[in-house]
Amino acid sequence: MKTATRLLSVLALLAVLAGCTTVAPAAQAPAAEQAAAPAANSVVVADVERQPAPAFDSACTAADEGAVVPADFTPDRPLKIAVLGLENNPFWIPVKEGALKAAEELKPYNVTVDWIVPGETHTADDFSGGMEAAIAQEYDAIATIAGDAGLVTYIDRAVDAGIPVATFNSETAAPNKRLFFVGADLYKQGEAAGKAMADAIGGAGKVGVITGFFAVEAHELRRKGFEDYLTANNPDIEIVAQVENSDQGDIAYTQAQDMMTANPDLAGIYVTAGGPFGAAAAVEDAGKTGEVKVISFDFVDETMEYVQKGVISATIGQGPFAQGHDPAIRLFNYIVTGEAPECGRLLTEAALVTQDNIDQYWTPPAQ
Amino acid sequence: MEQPEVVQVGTARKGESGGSFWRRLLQSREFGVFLALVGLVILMRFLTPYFWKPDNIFNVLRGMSTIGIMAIGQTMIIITGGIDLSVGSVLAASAMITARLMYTGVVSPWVAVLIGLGFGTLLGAINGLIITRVKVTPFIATLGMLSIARGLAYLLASGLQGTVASNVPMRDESVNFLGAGYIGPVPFPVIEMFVLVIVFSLFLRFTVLGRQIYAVGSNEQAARLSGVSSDMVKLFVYTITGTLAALSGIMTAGLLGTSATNAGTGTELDVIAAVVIGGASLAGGSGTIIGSIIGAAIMAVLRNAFVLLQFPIYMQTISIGLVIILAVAIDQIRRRSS
Amino acid sequence: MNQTGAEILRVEAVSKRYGGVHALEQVNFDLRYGEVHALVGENGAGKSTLIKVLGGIIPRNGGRVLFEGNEVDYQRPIEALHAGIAIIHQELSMMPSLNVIENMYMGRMPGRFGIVNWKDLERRTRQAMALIDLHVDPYAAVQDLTISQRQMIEIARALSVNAKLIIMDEPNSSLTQGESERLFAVIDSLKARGIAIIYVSHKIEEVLRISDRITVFRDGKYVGTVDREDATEQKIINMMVGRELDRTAISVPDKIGDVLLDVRDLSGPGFDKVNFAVRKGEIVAFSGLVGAGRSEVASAIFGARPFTDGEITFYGRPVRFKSPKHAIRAGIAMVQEDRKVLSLFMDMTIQRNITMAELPYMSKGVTSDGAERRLAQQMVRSLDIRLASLDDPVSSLSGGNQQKTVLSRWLATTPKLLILDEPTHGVDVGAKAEIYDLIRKLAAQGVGVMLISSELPEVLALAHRIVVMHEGRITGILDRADASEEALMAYATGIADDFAVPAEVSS
Repeated sequence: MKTATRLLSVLALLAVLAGCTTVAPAAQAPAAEQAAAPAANSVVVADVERQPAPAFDSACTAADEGAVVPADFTPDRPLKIAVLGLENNPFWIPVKEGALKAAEELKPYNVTVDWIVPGETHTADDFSGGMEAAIAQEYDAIATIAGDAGLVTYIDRAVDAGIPVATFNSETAAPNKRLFFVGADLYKQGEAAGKAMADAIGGAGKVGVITGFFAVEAHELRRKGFEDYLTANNPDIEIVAQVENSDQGDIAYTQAQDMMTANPDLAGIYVTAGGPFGAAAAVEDAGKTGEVKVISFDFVDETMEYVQKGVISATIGQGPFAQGHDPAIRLFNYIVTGEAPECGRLLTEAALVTQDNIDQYWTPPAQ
Repeated sequence: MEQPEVVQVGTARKGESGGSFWRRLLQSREFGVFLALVGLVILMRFLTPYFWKPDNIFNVLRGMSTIGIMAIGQTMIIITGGIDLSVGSVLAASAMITARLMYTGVVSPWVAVLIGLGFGTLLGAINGLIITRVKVTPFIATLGMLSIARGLAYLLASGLQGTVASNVPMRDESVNFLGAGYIGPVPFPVIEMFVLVIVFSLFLRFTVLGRQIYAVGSNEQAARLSGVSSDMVKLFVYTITGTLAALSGIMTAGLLGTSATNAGTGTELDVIAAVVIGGASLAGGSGTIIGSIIGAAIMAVLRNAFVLLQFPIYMQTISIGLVIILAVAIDQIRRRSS
Repeated sequence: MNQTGAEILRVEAVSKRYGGVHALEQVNFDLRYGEVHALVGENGAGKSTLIKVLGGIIPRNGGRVLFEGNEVDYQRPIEALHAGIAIIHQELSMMPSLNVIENMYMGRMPGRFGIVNWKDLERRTRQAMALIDLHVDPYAAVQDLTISQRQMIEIARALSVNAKLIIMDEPNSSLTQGESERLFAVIDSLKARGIAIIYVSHKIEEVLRISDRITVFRDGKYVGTVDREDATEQKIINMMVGRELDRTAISVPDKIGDVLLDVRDLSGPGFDKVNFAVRKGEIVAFSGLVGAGRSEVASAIFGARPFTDGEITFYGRPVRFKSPKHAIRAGIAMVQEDRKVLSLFMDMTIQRNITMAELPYMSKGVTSDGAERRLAQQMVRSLDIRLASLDDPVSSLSGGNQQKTVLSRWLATTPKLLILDEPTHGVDVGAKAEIYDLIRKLAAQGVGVMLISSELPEVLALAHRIVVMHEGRITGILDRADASEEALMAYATGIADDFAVPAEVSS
């Protein structure tokens, strides 16, 4: 019985904690000015003649990334758009904000945009269920993360049922019937990281690579892009170690220490995925800030703090706001005008954040 | 019937047979694993000038300290014939509640640490109660806890409103000393690990409860019929393992100044591997903490080698697996030949 | 193949060493078609080792084995099996969750392209079983069958591979009276088919009954072979023990004191309204057939099993022990029936096995190596446990010495009431006599003893009073003076019943 009482008090504690959650401020969104004026042009959705999807692999960067506006047509019936996303780490905060912003912009056109989190991971296990449910609920369009080849069947099933599908953030290598993709090209991100590293260390020296998992394709693309860029452009940079840290900060800490031990003249450490702050902490604790440059991805608080301190030389973004925002708007435009985007892969900007421009992207959380 | 039928002849020789201590030591599983570690160290010393430097040795020891501390508890659990898959998640949840309490400032930092340790202890005790009272097998019970505690870590990080956070800062110099401190050239986590190893080794060797842990693993029914409260023994080992996982979590968060929701993901396998390499049998009844620490050290030296010797990437994953199998296989062969 | 009388097997000067220990030293043995040749000896005499050598389970270190005239040296059990040697192990080697057919054909499932023809297998299984007049459902899971039925299936399996030589290792150790008779009948029918049988056993009476010749091993050496006509129980025992053994001496300790344990109307799973008392210094034997509920009653007193109704008074106070721990603290000890499963910690040292129950009471939580060692040494001396080192694993001991180790664990707690459940089960003759002496000595010191035993001579040799149970009820309580094997059997089978409830009252 004592145990039960203890359990209850813990639950009470949890409830208290939940109450005083602080919301981390999101990355600054590129302004999307859109008047909430009701549209004049009415359109019969069923009569719209739609263009075929652009070639699956065609790629371009949209000029209106993050700022695309709804076409000025009001459909003859209310529309529902599902955005299937994740909330398992702070990366998704701006993505979700983008989706909510799109919802706000589309509201005057009698469109509902629902942000749906079908599970904890971006596997087909979680997302196939989300897709099936969205099809069953007769959404008029679906935007989804497609992190797993297992999702191809579900995407095609939706499209065959007359529901246009857009993918964002990650997509399958196998072609499917989706209309377009909004997200970063991970390989190009890796190349951008390679260039950032070369710039940071002056084009020569030893660097170590800490990747999340050798088994995760996204991490491998970033690792390969980095490696290939340096091989092609900076032959004087030598990669002296490549290890995986399972996205864990403490493992990255030990690995960074080991890299500095084995290479007293180490110039840089590249972290492809989770836990870059562990490597940064090791560099800081070793008193090698500014001597060993760290390059990483994304704009989470822990990373940004080290950017501000100058331990992380640069961190590379992938337009998370646009990833959440643009698919819903472009799907709406497709439904009401029939116009498809110009290419299949709308690649988002790989923004490079350094100590110099960090203020544009991040404000420290208030404590 | 594995044991050969040995003929006992003549009058009994009572007790102390000369040299049996050394013979036993040489034949012990721990000694075999220790030799493997020594071999690995000598090889590393030969292959790279950076290995045998105090700084690197301390880095390796610090790197293995949380695995080592959790292996202490896991060893005791495995001796009883159980297993705890939840240590990595309990680590994260306990660290998260500590960081959360410190961040919101509702209690003083060290009270937060005590609550964090208490939380891990509680999660361990829940494991123990589900196993002993509800009679769910340890594998299933702790597999459930693996998920529940990870979920609690997310919940504690983000709150019920569903905002997203993967990290909660933990910035108290004195608390962080647990994970990031140094005493002279020696990282404090290394000292914590060795102190706990000594304390728990003495506990296992010289207390009634320690003996009963082995008895439960060797033959639970016989233990019960010999007056051992096997449920109490099991409850104890799962509970203390929860405490040790919580300590590891606070140390990890202290090292980085932040508590991560994904901290300790997958470490249960490293911890179990360390224990098994160290000579414990998953069937229960055997194992020592010293052995498990040596097992953890072997893996830590190997991971150090990945960087120092620039292992080709996929060979890293393969070699960890090979070491686990080799360590156990060599021991099997050694036993058969002796 | 009726070559009855011709030699099938000859073992010449076979040796087997483990390290420096001779498990077998230059032993000889021979066997004829259609003969039952018993192999007897104390535990550790080398019987099992010889079986393993013959069956290709372990290699030999010297000597010759001739099977059907050819010198053989099997490296693997399957080779021996193919040659026609089948072993039926003491602990039957079956897969409990699989059915009879699967067990019969384990490892040799016939089938075309890996597809099993169940109809065909069922037919063949039934045929094999019919040879020994066995009728069980071929699709029954083996775990649902009795030990006896499983044993019969192993025999049928041996027949189905055309075994010419069947080795039975302690086949009778877990069988009831009726089942034993059945086994003997099957053995007779095997003999009639010309099959040769090596019958390994402790039980001299049964050996005398079924074997044609008897060979005795002692300490890994061949002692001698006698024909049944020339054998007597005493002669075999002397060969086994190597000394004269007086088994019939019954000395009666006579200081029987106050009531120690009083059990009133005790009911629970497996027993009903049980009433009896044990006084200080008294040995109360519990006789009956296997499954009569004797172990259940004892376990309920010891706190190891639940009881639903009734009262237990120990030392004048009503007690109900939640677990054995509490019973032990109160001064009760219980030697369990199955020492491997319920008593011994096989991978722990002898010392730790001895001190396990007393350890919590020796010290306040912290153990003392010195005190523990002294206690263990004292127990080893007083029970004459034969060992090399207290630090060896208990599994290195012979069966008799293992049993003494279990006894010493309980004597170390200086119990006031000692419950013994089949204390001489699987123990050789020498150790048995020593255990008898010990029980008498303890009673003389005022310890109350509850002795559960299925061996009538043992009961008659030791008990002051005998409680007989049948199907969970007590059917008779006899003074030793009034007891005979015949009387005990009558109560045990329920033919006699002093406590039967008259029919009109019960309805």
